[in-house]
Amino acid sequence: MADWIVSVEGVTKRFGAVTAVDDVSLQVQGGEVFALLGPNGAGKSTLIRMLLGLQRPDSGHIAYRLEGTEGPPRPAHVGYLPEDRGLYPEIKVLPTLVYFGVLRGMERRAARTAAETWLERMGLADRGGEPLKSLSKGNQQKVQFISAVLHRPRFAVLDEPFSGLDPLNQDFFLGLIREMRDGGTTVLLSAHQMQLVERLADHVMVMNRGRPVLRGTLPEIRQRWTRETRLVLRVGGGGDGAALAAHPAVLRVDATAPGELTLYLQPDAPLNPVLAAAAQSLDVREVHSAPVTLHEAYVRAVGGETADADADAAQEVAA
Amino acid sequence: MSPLRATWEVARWEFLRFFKIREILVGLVMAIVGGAGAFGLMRLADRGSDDPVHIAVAGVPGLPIAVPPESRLRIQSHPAERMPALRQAVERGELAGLVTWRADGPPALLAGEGARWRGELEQVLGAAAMQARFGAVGVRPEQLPALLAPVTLDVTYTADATPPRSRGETILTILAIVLSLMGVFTGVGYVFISITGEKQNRVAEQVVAAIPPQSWVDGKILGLSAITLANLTSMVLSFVLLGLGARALGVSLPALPRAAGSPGLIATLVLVTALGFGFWFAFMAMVAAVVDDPNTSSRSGLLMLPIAVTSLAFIAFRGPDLAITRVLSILPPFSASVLPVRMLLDRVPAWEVALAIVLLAGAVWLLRRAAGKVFHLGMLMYGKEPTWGEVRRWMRET
Repeated sequence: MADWIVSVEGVTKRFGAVTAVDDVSLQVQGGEVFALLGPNGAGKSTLIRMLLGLQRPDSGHIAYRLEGTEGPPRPAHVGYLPEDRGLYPEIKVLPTLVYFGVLRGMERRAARTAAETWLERMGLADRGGEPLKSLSKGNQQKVQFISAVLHRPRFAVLDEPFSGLDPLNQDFFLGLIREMRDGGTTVLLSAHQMQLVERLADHVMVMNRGRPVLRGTLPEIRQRWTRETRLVLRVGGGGDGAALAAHPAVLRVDATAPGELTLYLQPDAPLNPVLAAAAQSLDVREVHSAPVTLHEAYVRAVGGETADADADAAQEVAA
Repeated sequence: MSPLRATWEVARWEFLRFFKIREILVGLVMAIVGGAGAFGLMRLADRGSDDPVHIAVAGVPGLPIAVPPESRLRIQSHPAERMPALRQAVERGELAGLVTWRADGPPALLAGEGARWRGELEQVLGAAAMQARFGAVGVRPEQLPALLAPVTLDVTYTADATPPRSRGETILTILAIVLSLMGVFTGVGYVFISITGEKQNRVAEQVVAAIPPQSWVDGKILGLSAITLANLTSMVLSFVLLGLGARALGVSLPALPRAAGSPGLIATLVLVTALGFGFWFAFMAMVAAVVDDPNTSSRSGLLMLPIAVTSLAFIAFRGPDLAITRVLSILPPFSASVLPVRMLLDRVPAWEVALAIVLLAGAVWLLRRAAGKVFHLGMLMYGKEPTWGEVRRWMRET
């Protein structure tokens, strides 16, 4: 296992009668993208606040190793993109970015140069002299993102980084986060866009009601949650696949879209007989496999499907 | 980043955020233009009053009326028979007034308009009547000045005594109180707007994740104190410019008291005032940090507390040597507004000034620490306001 840079052990946080985070443990490895997922109220933001030192856990321990040895993190080494926008709407963009860069330990001139470079990269070079509130929601999110990473942190916490972005800019942000990771920044992100997380995360932890209900690398999660083999057939001629449903290896056939059938097969069932049967009864134009998506695993885990088994499985994976 | 540098950066940010040089310059220009305009209007209004005022006096032939050469009054005596004609002249506006001397009462005046010259006329007629009475008992006119000379005392005070307040001292002290009130009022407003705005815009998490909350609150107090002092300085500058302009135009102004030229006294006043700002701004930082929504929170009413306490300066103005004034001028936070007034109007022993400054500085130190603690916890609390019990507990933990 690679060296961890953030370690959370048995952390619990209560607010009155509500246990927001319940005995959570995790380790974030250096240079990875760690995705923290879960429904609203799952305890993600509380956990993030504790990671950033904004709140203290009632019990448990959080340790950092950002500089090789264990110790409290220096603000210059941590970046934070809050879920809600946290900048001054009335103040011009460039001075705001310089201010936050300086608060994170940068020299003023270096912060200004870095901010100008980032603004140019984001396509906002000519907007630095405008108040933040004059920018669109997506552009405000870009400025917020810059403020979190301007000082090139070793550990960046990005809470909903894709919020307010159109698909093109979501892809752009994916590239930026990958670039940060490749440049040595460890990223912990929280997001609701499962398809994006799936393309980005090295490690995933799903929380529900304050506790982790699913975690591991994406291959581990897929393996754990794959209960059948899935084939997607694009067919011509309007076949409904009723003949295939009777095949002994086929568990179920769903018409998932016009001209598209999804076959659910017994795990490890040989494919050739099924494909031969499909070729006999249908006008097959295209075939591809469909592994379990993160979205499906998330829905099943959070939806409480075999909750106890999931928790056990999660602990096995973690171990 | 060291806490000290973080404090400096926040102070710089807060200062630049609210410091609008253009607005200050516009304010200065407006004050000068307004002052010049008011002066011009006064001059314009006075211009009409330069015209001669013709008064007729009837029924006292031989009254020795002597009008000073610079007076606008033109007084002429007439025999009693002309009274009906003179009355008609007043009614037609040809005469400003008609004075009728009566044997059974005071002289009567018939005036066509407001008779703003009435006081001057009474002086002239009074002097003439007195001269006539003295003449009747054989006193010659050249003997009158010696007979009527008032007795004036050449006063010397003992070292401990406080001389009576001059007009200049009164004006300077009132100006100082007004500036102090304006400073506290605008300053706590800045603090309140700044902090509740940051809380509502969720800037708090960003900043507290980067620097210690104590540095943040210290920087705010310093930066907003600096902006308040800068604003007050611009106001003082506009007063000075107006005064110089008025003097250049020949307007008679009261002499500045000696205190205005004492650098030591001015430095002490600025120090005490700045410490007062520090106290109230720390207090307001604490209040604003536990306000969830400034539009609906009942805690917004606490904005008036600093104003109420600062207004106690008027007690010192009325009685700078009262026992209550002496006590208030030493105890924080009252000393911040009461001590400067007392120093401007009375002799304050050096030990009292030193004790007041030490106590006030200590109070500011304690309050800023408490504000830092409340600020840390209160700024990150959204959706509900902590109870005063919780706030007290946070402060005890300081």
